[in-house]
Amino acid sequence: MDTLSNIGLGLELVLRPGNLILCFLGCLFGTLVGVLPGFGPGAGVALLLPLTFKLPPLTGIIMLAGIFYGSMYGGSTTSILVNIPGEASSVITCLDGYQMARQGRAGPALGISAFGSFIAGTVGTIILMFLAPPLGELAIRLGPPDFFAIMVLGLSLIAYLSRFSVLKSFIMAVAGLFAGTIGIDQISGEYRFTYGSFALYDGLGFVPVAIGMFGMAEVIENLEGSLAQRDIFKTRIRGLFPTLKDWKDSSLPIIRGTLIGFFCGILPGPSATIASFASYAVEKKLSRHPQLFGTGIIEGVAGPESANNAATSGAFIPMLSLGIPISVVTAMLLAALMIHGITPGPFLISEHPDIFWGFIMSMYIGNIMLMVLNLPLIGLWVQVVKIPYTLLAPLIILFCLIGVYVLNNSIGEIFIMIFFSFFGYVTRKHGFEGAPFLMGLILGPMMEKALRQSLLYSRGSFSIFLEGPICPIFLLMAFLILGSSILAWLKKRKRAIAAILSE
Amino acid sequence: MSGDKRSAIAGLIMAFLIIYLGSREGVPVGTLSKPGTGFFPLILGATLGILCLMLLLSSLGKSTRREEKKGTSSLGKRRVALTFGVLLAYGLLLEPLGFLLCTFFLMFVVLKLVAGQRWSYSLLTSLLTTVASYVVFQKLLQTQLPPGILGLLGLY
Repeated sequence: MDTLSNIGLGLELVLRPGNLILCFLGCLFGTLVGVLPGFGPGAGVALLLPLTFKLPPLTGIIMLAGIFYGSMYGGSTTSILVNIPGEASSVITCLDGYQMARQGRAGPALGISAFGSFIAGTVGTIILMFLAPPLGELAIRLGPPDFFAIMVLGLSLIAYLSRFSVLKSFIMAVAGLFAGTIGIDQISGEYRFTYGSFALYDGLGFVPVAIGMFGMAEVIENLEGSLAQRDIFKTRIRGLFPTLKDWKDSSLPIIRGTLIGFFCGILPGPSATIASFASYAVEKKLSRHPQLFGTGIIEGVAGPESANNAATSGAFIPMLSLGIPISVVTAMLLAALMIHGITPGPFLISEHPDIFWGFIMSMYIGNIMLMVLNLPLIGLWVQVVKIPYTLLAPLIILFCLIGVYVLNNSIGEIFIMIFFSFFGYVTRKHGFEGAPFLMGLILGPMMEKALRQSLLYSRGSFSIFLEGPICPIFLLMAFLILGSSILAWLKKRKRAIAAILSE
Repeated sequence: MSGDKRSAIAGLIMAFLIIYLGSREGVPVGTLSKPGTGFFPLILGATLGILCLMLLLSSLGKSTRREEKKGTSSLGKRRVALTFGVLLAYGLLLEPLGFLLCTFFLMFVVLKLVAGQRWSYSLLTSLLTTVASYVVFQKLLQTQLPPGILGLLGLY
């Protein structure tokens, strides 16, 4: 069977010592990123992105993906033990996880979140493995208008699902799209907005911008606040293995969490976070004792922790089958592949089966590693939380600087990074999110190409966007999203104007 | 002025700049049937302008007082300004002074002045991290870090 031989090929690639070691390092670093509060997977992947340019492409993305799903394992540890979520996607785990720890059941809480994450990660990878190839085949038949519509919908969803102001997220997305036009024009070959700067000829580099807006801006924002040491709740961890009753209570939440997580993961935006909240809400609704949620019951840990892990697998679907990243982390993985001249997209699976299948198989191996790694190392992770931020911050700053410099040995990139750390810091302060900007930056050139190609084919007629089922449906959905946000905005305005008039 | 109003005005300026620069730089907009280099930037500039106008309008009714509350301490602001200052200095001095001196200087400033650590701790930690990062990046990973004046003296 074809799939079987592909699985064999992937497995053979992953089991090479180099790939295995970097998969392990990625998972280890990911768990560390997950454990450290105020240092998210976006920043973690950005930090190690330059390093992968020296590695073979497959090895590079194996490591980066390991950071991504590894951080989901790590995030729960601190939520449960110290009530500090390591990641946004583990916020909800604090509710029941920390209560369980206070009742002396930290062990089973940690255990079930590791087992749940493992099951969800593995099942998510299986779904990904069977869903991505047919979707990729479907995508081959899509034309530029369809890709344009998909990207418009993707960006609209990212802005719409933002945690803060939808309007501000749209502004950031458009600004990012513009930043993506700097440099060489893909169609005519002309330079624009470069003003003779060599650093800008190839366009704004994704890496310095990402490191600036995610790594540096995050650290600088944290430096602004109080640097006092956090209190850590002392607990003894006994027996990590959940009891039979625990398993009985959590098996259904794990299954539901996996499915919810995977399909939330396909959506753009902070999908792992949304998935964990959705799973918690569903479990509470279906439960026979909803009033017990928040008092330390295992279902409240098992569901969300499975969901956020499955979401990471779902997020790879659009990236692998369409070549369109829908989250910051998958955009970075895409950048890692593009540096090596590999264009992800519908042809990835047929042209680079080694990359696709090696990557998929690495996720199975990685999940096994993480489970084995996590349980015995919990003591170490608790120590990590105790590292003072006053030491961590300068180290992260230094790594960001070195990471950007070694890209091309260019000072220009360092200044681009400093500029974007300032931009990221200021926009964060004013309630703008960085993610839509970064998505715009990476989607900008693709979107422009799709739009201009469509117009060239149609000789300037917009009717080309009404042909075929996919393009009009996706554009309609994007318009509905835009329309509903504008309506909500107008409603709010009307009330405000009325209030001013009546004064 | 409220934060939203400020950001809306900054955004509007950017939108005008995009449209103005796009029209000036000789990037042709082209026609609908043959869109040119300036076509997409023009659309983006216009969209950005509209969005920022909406933000400006919605910020008009808001009172400024509620937002200012979130303002940070002067100590925090000082830390942020210092960090950006030392970053810029690092970028400017990295090639003339070299990796070792600049990194030591950067780590020391951040540890001592930004994070407020003790002299001895800051000195020792800066020294250790500088040497460790040099060994890892220059010797183990074989990246080319700028030698600077130490290179001229033959000490690198």
